[in-house]
Amino acid sequence: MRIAAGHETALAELIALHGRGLTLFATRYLGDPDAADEVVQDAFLRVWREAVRYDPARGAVSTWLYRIAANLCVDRLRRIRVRRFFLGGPSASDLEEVLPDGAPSAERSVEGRQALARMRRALLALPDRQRMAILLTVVAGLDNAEAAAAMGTSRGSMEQLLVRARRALRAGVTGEDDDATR
Amino acid sequence: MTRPDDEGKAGADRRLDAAIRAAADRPVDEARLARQVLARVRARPKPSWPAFPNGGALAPAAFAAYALILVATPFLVASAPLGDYDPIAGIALTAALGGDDLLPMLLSGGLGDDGAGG
Repeated sequence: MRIAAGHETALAELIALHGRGLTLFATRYLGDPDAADEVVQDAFLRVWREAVRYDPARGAVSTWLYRIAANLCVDRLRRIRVRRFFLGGPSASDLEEVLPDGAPSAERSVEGRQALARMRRALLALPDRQRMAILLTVVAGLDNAEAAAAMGTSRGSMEQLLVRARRALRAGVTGEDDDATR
Repeated sequence: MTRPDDEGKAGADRRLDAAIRAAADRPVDEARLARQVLARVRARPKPSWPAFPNGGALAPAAFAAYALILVATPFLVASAPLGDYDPIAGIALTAALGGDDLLPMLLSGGLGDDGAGG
């Protein structure tokens, strides 16, 4: 592998291929854009340092990369929650309001912003494993087998997580719609 | 042949996924990300030995060496003849046994012929 041989251009190519997907995944999993940016950098750095350990027989580079990122996200989320428990601070849903400028076009209308906010809250309210499963497949674009490998679970378990996540998201978004119209 | 229910469910899933992707979207500066990662790569050269998962290559080796000293010291001290007491080993033995009570006994019993611990 070229990265294992120390080729920085190969690492840059990997970042160009997966940087965006990884950032979106980490941002919605953690609910914190700054923490997500750090985790994504750490993931690529770990790939660089441990490239000699990569075994192509075990899966694609993307699967390995997302597995590293998923583990880093789990650790980071644990630390974020411990810090918030002891020190207080904004919750993940509060952080949704401070995303930088250049927001997608859907956010330009009030209704669009509200719909996006509802979905973001519903995502953060999911159990961690369901949220990870839905983000790996829908947002990062991994297929079910790759996402299962990244999470260290079976394909059947992954599909169950996805079914439950979609059901919970529909209920979460619909429930807020009902509250808003009362 | 797909049933209408399946098409409806599949369509609902597709619409939900589209809403998830829209909600997940945010600006990502991939060039900046690459610069930041490469800066960190250059600031910290790759280790010449395999890195441990926690990033610390030396820490496990140092811990193993410390543990070996703690385990081996009592046997080394016990095997040394009287008068050849080593104060360093004695302190290590005290630390290994976890108490200060032994230290005075060791010092008083191990000063050797010249009284200087040597």
